[in-house]
Amino acid sequence: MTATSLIGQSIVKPDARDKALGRTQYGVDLKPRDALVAKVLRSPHPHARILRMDVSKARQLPGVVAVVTAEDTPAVHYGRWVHDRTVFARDKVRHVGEPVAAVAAVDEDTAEEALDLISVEYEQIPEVVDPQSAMAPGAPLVHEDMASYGPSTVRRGGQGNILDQTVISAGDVEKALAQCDVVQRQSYQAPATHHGTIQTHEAVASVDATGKVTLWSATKSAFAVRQTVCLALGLPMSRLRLIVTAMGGDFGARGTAVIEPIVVLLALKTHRPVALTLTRQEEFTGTSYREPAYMELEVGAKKDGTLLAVRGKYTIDTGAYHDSVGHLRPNTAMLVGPYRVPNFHLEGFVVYTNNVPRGHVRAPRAPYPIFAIESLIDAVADKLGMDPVEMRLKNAVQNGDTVPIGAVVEHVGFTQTLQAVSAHLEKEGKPQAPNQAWGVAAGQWSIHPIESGGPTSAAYVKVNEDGTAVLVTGVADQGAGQHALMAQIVAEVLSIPYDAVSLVAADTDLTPYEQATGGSRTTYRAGTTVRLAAEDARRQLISLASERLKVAGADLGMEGGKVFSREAPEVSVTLAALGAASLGSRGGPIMGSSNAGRAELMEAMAKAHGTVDGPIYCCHAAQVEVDPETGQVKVLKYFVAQDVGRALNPKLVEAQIQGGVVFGLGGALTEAVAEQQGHVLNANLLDYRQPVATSVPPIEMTLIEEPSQFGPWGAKGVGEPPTVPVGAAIANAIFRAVGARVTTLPLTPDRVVQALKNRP
Amino acid sequence: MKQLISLKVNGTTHEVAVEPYWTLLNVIRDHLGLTGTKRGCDSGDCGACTVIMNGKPVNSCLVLAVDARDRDILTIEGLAQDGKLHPLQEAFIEKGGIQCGYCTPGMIMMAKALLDENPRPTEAQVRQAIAGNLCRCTGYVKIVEAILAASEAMTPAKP
Ligand code: FES
Ligand code: FES
Repeated sequence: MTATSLIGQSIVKPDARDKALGRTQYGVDLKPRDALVAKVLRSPHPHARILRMDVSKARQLPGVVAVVTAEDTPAVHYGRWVHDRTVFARDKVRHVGEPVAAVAAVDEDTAEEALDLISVEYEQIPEVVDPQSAMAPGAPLVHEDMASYGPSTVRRGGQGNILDQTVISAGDVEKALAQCDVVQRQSYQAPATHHGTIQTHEAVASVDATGKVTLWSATKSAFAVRQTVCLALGLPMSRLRLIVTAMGGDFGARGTAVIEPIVVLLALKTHRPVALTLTRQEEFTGTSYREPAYMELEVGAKKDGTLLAVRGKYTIDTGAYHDSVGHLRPNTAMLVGPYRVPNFHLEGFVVYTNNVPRGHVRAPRAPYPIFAIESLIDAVADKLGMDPVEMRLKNAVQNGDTVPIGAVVEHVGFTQTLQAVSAHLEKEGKPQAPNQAWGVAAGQWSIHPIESGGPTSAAYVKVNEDGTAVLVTGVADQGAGQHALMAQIVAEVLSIPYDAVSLVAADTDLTPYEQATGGSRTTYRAGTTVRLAAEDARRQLISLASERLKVAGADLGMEGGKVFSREAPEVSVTLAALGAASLGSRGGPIMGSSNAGRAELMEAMAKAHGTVDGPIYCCHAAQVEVDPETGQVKVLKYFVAQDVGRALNPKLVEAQIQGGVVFGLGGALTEAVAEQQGHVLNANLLDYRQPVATSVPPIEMTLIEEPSQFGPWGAKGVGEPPTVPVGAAIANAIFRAVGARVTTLPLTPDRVVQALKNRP
Repeated sequence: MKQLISLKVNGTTHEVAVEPYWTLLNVIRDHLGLTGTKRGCDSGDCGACTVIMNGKPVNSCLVLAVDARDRDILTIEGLAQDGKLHPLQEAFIEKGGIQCGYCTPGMIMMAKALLDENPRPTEAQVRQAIAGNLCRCTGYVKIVEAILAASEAMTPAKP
């Protein structure tokens, strides 16, 4: 780092200007004027056989250019993890909203009319909509031939409707529980919740005369979506180029192919550009979102607060299709929370039902197990008469601990977050008003051990003839400022101004591979890749300068757009001169590749294999006021302490935490997809209640910086964790305020009133 | 049956043939090509489609195009003057009130309507005014800061 370092500076996101002007093109904003409009016909039933389908009338309607069904696709299954899906339902439908056909027509009205003209004869079969019944022997099968689903790497439960199951254990829970002074037991429940992006899913596809398809999609996983579309439609990857458009929010909605195979298929059929925008209603039945979950938990501790044992069971309703990446083991391990627990026995189940498919929503699978353990730890602390932060401090995970999945955690900043909450609560003092109190809860994320394989991404940095630079990366920007950060990293390594870096991003034909912008991994992992590419460009510049200045590379420095001799700084050459000179040089135009420094990185990672380098821990505190008559909960103040490793751009970090907390507030207090026998009853933004500006409390925060080894300048991920403990923090605050324990999310007034009645 | 209407958008008058059931949002986006105005729900629940019509903020997805005939309509594209950003636009950028930006046009138009009527709103009034505009990214914190900063910049507090 130099005196003029950009690291830690709150640079304004360069995309903000166009967005403020209304110029940014999202999804179908860039569709050509003559694009056909696509619409999807969806199943009205949760479970039914398709007896007969007739599309002839729709085909004959003037203005209809194509109607497609399962017959127009290869007979293959695909999926994000297990390959359980087809583009259109073949013999039966498994959920309300499953696509059965699609049309492309000259305008929306015609497309709508065509859908009405398709006749489908269904025979309804009994549906199964909760995992308990789905696991019972003799339950109707959602997937009859689950065992045949690829890929072979997938570990399947294989019994009835159980897709996946796991057991993680250590020590002797039975014996340990018998030795505990306090044992608390409780079941918890949480509903399906929606990502609720303001832009619905949108995509445009067009085919040129050679048969090459270009797909514009608001996705964060360009390469994964390309792969899926190619698999689903039998296309070689060379025939499909996916260009990512601006995204109107992601939160897990845009990590997997949702509408893309349909749009591409229609473009191939019609040889015309085709655009598809999902309606808000379809967002609720035609995408996938947070899984409802059931947690049973038992926690035992000694008098002094030492945790001895946790027994838990985590059952996930994955709906009709599994749009998740399948990390059941680490997800189940969340049940012990960020604590040292010598004895545990944890079971996890993923079960198919005839509900709408489940997938990822901000911090997938973390908030619910954390809601359970953080509520129960709080109850144990209360039983022991112990301060809840004290209790957590006593058991907090520390550097070098082995966590339940068997990995060793390093660079752990958890204790500091607890101490920050403690200090904040001390400063605030206990609320004096009746029915008011603070509640606390801790959270964790990214407890993934370092794999021996390196990051699944690459990047290039080109240096222009005038000394400015272009970064070529597969990273998509959902709005969190990922592109700004990536450019900031390049500018820092090359010691050039931030606005001297431009960026080409997320285009499967043009940019190198990138796994996805998600999981709070972009800054940590893609940022590392980008740093490698910039460092390679820097090396090439130094070596060229060394030739020209006749100074050994090791004696050269780079700053302020120049390479100079450290001994005699007046001996220097500008990056502009080097960029220009490189064109015909022996090494060629300067083009740094992340693959150049990769071997060293991978060696270091192999050494660190099995450790968790960038684990993220946080602790939240919420002050609530509860109306004991109505059960209304008002969040008055909110405080977050989070270990971010290193805040590369503090303002962006702050923005992620504020947005994440408010996202969590929705899940804590109001959000639930209301499902009845597989039907969604509140598929709109009025009845599905996301937080609005008037419902948000002031949010304060303390950032802890416990640097990671591999993240750029020590950075860790930021965006997922702030959503994780919110439900528990508020539930615990409610308990401290009025003595009522609500164990089902969201914490609605009627549940609070009920819990008040059940008070011992 | 289509009818020919004239729509005055951002100072320019357009003649458009519209079906009686088409919304103003449809016409602005699909026929005039002004895609800055966003669609989030098509049912009046998200505020992404907010435009200003005769000085009042409206959800353009709830207004029939025929009812907007001869009215004065301002969309996000008409806010900057001669390349100079409106103070609200400046403040949203500076304060970090923009993440994905999908709610931004509607949010800014709603805020403009507020400041036109009440140049020095309190924080609570700002929150009230934008309570019908959903943002999923920011938690509203920096949006509220931005609107208050723009208000301050446009109408400095009297000493
Ligand atoms: S699109 Fe008009 S309010 Fe949502
Ligand atoms: S900035 Fe994304 S919805 Fe508001």
